[in-house]
Amino acid sequence: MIKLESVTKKFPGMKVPAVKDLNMEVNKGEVCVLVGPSGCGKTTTMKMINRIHEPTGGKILIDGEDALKMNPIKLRLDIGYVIQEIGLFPHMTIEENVATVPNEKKWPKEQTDKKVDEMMTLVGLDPKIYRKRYPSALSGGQRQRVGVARAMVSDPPIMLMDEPFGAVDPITRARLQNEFLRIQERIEKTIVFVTHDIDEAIKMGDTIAVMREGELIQHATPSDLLSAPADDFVADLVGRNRSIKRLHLIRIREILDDVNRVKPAPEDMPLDEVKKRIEDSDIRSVIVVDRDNKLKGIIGVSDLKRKTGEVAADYCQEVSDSVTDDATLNDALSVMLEMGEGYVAVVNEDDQYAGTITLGDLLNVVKEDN
Amino acid sequence: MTMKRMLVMFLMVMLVAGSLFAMGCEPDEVVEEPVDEDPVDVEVVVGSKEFTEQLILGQIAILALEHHGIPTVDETGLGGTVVVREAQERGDVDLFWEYTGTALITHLGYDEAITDPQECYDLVAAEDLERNGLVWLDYTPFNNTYTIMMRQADANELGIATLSDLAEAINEGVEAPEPGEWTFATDHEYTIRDDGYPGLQELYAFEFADVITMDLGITYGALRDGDVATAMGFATDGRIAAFELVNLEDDLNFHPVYNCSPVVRQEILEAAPQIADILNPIAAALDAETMSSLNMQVDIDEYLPVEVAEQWLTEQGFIE
Amino acid sequence: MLQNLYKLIIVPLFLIIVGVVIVIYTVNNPTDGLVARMLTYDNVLTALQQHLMLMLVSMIGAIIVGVLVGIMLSRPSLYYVGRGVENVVNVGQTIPSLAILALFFTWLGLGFRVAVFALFLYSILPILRNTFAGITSVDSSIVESAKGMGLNQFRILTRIELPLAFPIIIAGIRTAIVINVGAATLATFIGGGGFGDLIVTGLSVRRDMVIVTGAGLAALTAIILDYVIGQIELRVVKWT
Repeated sequence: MIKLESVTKKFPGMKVPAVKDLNMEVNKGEVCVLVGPSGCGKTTTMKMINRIHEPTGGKILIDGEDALKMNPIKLRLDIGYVIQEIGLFPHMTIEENVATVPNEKKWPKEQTDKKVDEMMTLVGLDPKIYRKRYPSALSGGQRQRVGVARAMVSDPPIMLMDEPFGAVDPITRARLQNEFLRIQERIEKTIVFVTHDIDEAIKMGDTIAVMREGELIQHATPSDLLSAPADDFVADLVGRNRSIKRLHLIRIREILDDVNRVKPAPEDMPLDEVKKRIEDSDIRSVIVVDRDNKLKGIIGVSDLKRKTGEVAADYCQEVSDSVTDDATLNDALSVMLEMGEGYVAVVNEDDQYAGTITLGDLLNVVKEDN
Repeated sequence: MTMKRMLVMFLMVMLVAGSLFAMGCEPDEVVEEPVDEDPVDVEVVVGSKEFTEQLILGQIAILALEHHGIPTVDETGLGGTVVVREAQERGDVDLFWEYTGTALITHLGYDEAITDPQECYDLVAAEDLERNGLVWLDYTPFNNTYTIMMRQADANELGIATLSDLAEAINEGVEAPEPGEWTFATDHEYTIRDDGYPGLQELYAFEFADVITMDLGITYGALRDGDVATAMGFATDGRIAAFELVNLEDDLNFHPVYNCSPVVRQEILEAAPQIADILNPIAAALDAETMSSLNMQVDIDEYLPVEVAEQWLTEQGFIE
Repeated sequence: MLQNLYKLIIVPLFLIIVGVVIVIYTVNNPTDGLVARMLTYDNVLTALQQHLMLMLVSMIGAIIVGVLVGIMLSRPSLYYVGRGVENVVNVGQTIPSLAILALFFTWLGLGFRVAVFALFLYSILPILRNTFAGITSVDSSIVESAKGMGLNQFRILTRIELPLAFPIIIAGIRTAIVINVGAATLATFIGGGGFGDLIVTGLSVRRDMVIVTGAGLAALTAIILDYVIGQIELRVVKWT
């Protein structure tokens, strides 16, 4: 899909080229993450693909076509682009921001409107509420979502993303990453993604390209990168806790089937049965769900002593947080540590209870790998 | 010179627009009122308006007084007529040369101008002393009144020597010299005063095609450059001769008289009565030709007012 | 809606009425014959017409030229030229308006056109400087993301840079108006007419009523113009 052949970029007035003789290929539908310390040339490399920077040497092929010979405006209209600072246009409403490329392509208004609604919904912003707002009225996370929606609205086959989730707090960041991966599963864009955060790279990338001083050091899958770093630099970058970093690679639903845990208690379950379930449980508590199988709370041994009543709902205590099944094990670990509990409830996309995982489960995964 | 005039006017415009006469022009030094009668202690603050003739007259007064051992403070070039006069009424200026016609209309509030020099002087001197405690010393023979000018060459060609000739030419539709219309450059004051254009056009029964109002200092140049066909100016201005312009004779004696006198605050004169004896003979020696020539030496030959004053006073034997 | 109407029309209308009342009152109640001669409907209307022409012609010219040149200088290829020009403009701005007027008088002579030209040049300065500063201060990430999405240079200018620089450009225009109204009253010194005729004539004969009428009308003109521009800005700039 995207092929870089001996690409070099030397900025005028600089002695050393920013990117040196870089060869790389990104396959269709894959997320390739460019990672490395600042000044390593990763952003420059990305920006050469839509010719924000013109390469001083080499070739860039997109679908076999020489990108350097294409009209740069046309080229860019077909490449989604999200940059670090998001670059939302502050004088335009969210709707106008998202409609930027359709307007440049002169789509009919109805088509644009429909697509804007669709994209806003896709990134989790209710069009009814946010369409007419200005970026200044949005939170950092919401702006990132708009940035993504704006880049994807014309359905470009390729997207370039420069630290798109850089400017938000870690929790929001993890959520945005997960949502984005969920969307990507559906839309299967070819994405070049730049970050300096190796954890993000491991989480987001189908492949990871590690760069240093303008050169490509290793281009491999996250798993290979972790198990076989090409040199000390890469090993250093991925760090000593490679086992723990594996937690980034595994999604919760991948291990959920292997976890053997007691079934949740319906809210109207009589007390006796609840007691029995708790005794059978390896975590000495049981999750309570409502009729729609939605997470309602949890009952522990202590709750049975403190409260009175006849059915499960009477003893139920709310849980402060849960994770979705497409989150990584690392996300689950974060939530557990934050709640100060050894377990976390997992819900699926429709907010239905899907299971519970514990610290022990995570330990097992890490052990298996070693 | 023009620049400075304009700057001062600019300041006045701004100040007036903002605060309606909340302005004050303090002299650089505060002059102490003489407490005792000893003339040695008198320090005379000499002011002047900001145009050439006034600057020269101011320097003449300063040099003459200093020559006779009376200390002075130089506040010449203070501002427009109103500014200097108000400073004097406040006691910030002790002496400056004022024109009889100006005092009559502007300071004493008369509506009707007077065309006889002595009559005008007598009235002004008496009233100003009585009302404001200001003493008018002897007046000059020169009469720096308004004049209507044409370019010398045009006047000769069209045979225009008097204002009656001009009125006739305009009324008979004689073709105007450059710029092709009988236009008239004037300062602001002349457009409105009874003894200015309104009265002039009534007495001589004519009207200019267009009246262009501008700063007084530039009417002479505007006329020379052909921007207008006629212009008003002051009779003793040095530029009239230098720019080859000519004063049209006021054959119906329309323009009021503007002879000039040193005006002194009474208490100063009482403290140093010799001031009158020093300045009276000087004023008597200042005729139209002399004043015109002195003005020209500054405006055209670019001598400093103080140089011109000193040279003339020396020539005349007023100082050594 | 009602409030919008109030703000856009009622306030300027009120100011205009104030001006009309001042004129009617002073024309009909002159303090003496000199004032009566100066303050006629004819004279005031002529002064108003000249003053408006002085201001409008010079302002419109200055806005067009100032914005266009400001845009040109903000282009990357001319950026350093622009920085230099910005410095020159900052120095130029410190020259008093009267000096500019005097300078143009000595070069070009006198009259309405010279006054307009001097006012025009003087008013360009803040507009040009603010246009340049406004455009060059647009966050580079915004421009880059527009470029990356496939907007060409012209579209980036018209869709992104100019709208974002708009409040700063407007501020420059308002500065120019303030300068212009002061300087326009000076046009009278070189035969340019306007309310300065009233003010300076009033000053020369010590007639406060003439001065106040002239200065008041000049001030009202400036306030109305500034207000209208301010309202336009409020209506256009909604994103902050």
